[in-house]
Amino acid sequence: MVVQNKQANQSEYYVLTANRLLDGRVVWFTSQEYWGIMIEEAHLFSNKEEAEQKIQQIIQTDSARFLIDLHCTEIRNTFLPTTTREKIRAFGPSNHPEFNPRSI
Amino acid sequence: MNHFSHISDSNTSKAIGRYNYNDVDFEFLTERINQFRSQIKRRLNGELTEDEFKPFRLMNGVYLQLNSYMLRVAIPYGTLSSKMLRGLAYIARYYDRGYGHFTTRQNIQFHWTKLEEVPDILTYLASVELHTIQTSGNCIRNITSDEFAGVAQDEILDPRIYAEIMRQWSTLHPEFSFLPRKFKIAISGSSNDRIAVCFYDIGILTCLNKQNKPVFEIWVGGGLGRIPIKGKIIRNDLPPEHLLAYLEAIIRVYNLHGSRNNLYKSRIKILIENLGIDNYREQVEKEFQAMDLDQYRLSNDIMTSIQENFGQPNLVDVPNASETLKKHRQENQAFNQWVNHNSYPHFHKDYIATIISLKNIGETPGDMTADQMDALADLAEEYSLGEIRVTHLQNLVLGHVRKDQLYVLWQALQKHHLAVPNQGLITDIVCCPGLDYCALANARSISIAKKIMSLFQDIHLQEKIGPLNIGVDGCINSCAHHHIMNIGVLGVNKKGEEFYQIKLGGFSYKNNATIGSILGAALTMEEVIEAIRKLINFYLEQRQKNEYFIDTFNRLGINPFKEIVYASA
Repeated sequence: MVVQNKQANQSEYYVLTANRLLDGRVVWFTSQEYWGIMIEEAHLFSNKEEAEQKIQQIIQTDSARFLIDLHCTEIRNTFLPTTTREKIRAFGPSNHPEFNPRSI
Repeated sequence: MNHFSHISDSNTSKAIGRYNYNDVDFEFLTERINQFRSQIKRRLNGELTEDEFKPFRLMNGVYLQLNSYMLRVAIPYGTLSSKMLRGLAYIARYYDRGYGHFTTRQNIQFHWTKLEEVPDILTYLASVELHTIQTSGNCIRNITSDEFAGVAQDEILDPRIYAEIMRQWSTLHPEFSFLPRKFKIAISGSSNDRIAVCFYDIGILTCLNKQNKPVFEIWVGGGLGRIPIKGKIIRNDLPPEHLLAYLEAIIRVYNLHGSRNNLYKSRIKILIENLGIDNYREQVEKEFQAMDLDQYRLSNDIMTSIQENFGQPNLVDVPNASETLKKHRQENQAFNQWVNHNSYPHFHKDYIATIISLKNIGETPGDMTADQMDALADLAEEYSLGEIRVTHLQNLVLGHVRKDQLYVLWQALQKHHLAVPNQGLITDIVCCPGLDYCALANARSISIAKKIMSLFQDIHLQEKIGPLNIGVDGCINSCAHHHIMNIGVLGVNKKGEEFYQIKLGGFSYKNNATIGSILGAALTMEEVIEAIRKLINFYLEQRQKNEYFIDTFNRLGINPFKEIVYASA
């Protein structure tokens, strides 16, 4: 079940992410059910189970065909992933700040 | 757009130092590219799942990294022509983001390619006689060589001819296309180790036997990664004509007995550790003796036919070349400094080889922009017979520069930020792409390398420190060879956070090769930079006359260094 609104006092959420088949770019699952390139567009799930349920639903759809490495990841409510790996996926390599998705 | 229009046709003679393709080679690549184009099309229209497509993708050098697809291009025995380098510049500029990354296996990687454009890139690469075949997968990978091949004064034979023969033999070899694990071979035409010979699945040096005839010294079972192991000599007197037969025997035994059910125990090094080198040698010799050696023999005809496809350098005597170089060195201190660090003697008295450092302070080690590639291609054509080599330490070499022209070349290199005088010094850091790009990495490596380079950017301080190598790896796969560097840094992951382990005392030269020792507990990025500063200061205080860092470390042992870093923690 997709959580429509952030719950009060909650600081950690889960988002869905993948790489796009055509060009490998990192994409984030949005509330409008499209895949956006900026993490700030991502839909927030309040817990991991709900996020994983949604993954199972997406896998059954045609859109999954255009995605690789679909998974959920934990973020802070500032849209900051908790791991360095996911921060780099979200904001690009640290040696090329100009490749941050916001800059392109 | 005509993709090929910008490539100069002015040099229609054979490129030197490397095999020049013939029609058969072009037809083979065209067929292969068409196959991959079809596989990509089937993937995009849903006929192939990612699991089905992935082996095809990898066999063509396409990796999915954190932010995009990476394309790895093989540079056979590390030798490029100007035309090839311009071709790489073109790909960087029009299909990627304006740069490429040279690796420790003499390959180049483009980190921002698009899957749908890969067939066009491969077509373009083929037009400049390059490809991506076997740059991934459990097969024989790009065969690397000595960056001073055809230049070094101590060379017994040109290893690139044999590297090319091995390339042709191993490309789509039906028996060795699905080995238990990847397989890496390096060769030098000298008995001096410039290839880290004992850290390859097979490493080959060349020696003279008692009859003064060239023979190969074959090392097997070396490797880095999770379980670093120093290779062992399996045979020290192999006649060159039997090279392919002997390699086939070695790899056949590995293919039969290597583990296929445990990724971490499937390299040949583990098999040889388990069997023992004497047992392994016995099995290889048995296999070798059972082979039809005439069928495998590298006859004079075969050698000649390959050699004829290599362009030969036309080296000429140049009156007063050495005197001119000496005068330029006396007149310009910065030039003299660069020659001191970034040159290598040539067998011809009037020529010199020069190392183009890709370790600019503030830049990513091993990276080169498309503009720099184009500029260097032009300079190679003008000053080094159109040939460029890639080193296993992520630098480039112009092998055949006239001594009297070196000063003008240096001035031109400066304009393109390609004249950094730091080869072999502390800022000449070997560095993998790390977590900024690589899906296997645990931690960023580029940031660490750049911080160390910044800390020691003063060239006078670098010279005071003297020869010292540092390798920074983002994971235990050890692409940056941290195990065998004087100072090795390894990124580790602790609950999603980056930490770094330091190793000291690594050394890569054949019999003296040493795997570094772990200094202590992993540190944060800031702590590891401070630790390296302390280690260097301690070495400078403790070293005796003429000692390099590795000498001081070997004399004192690890404990005082450990004390310096961890005592106040």
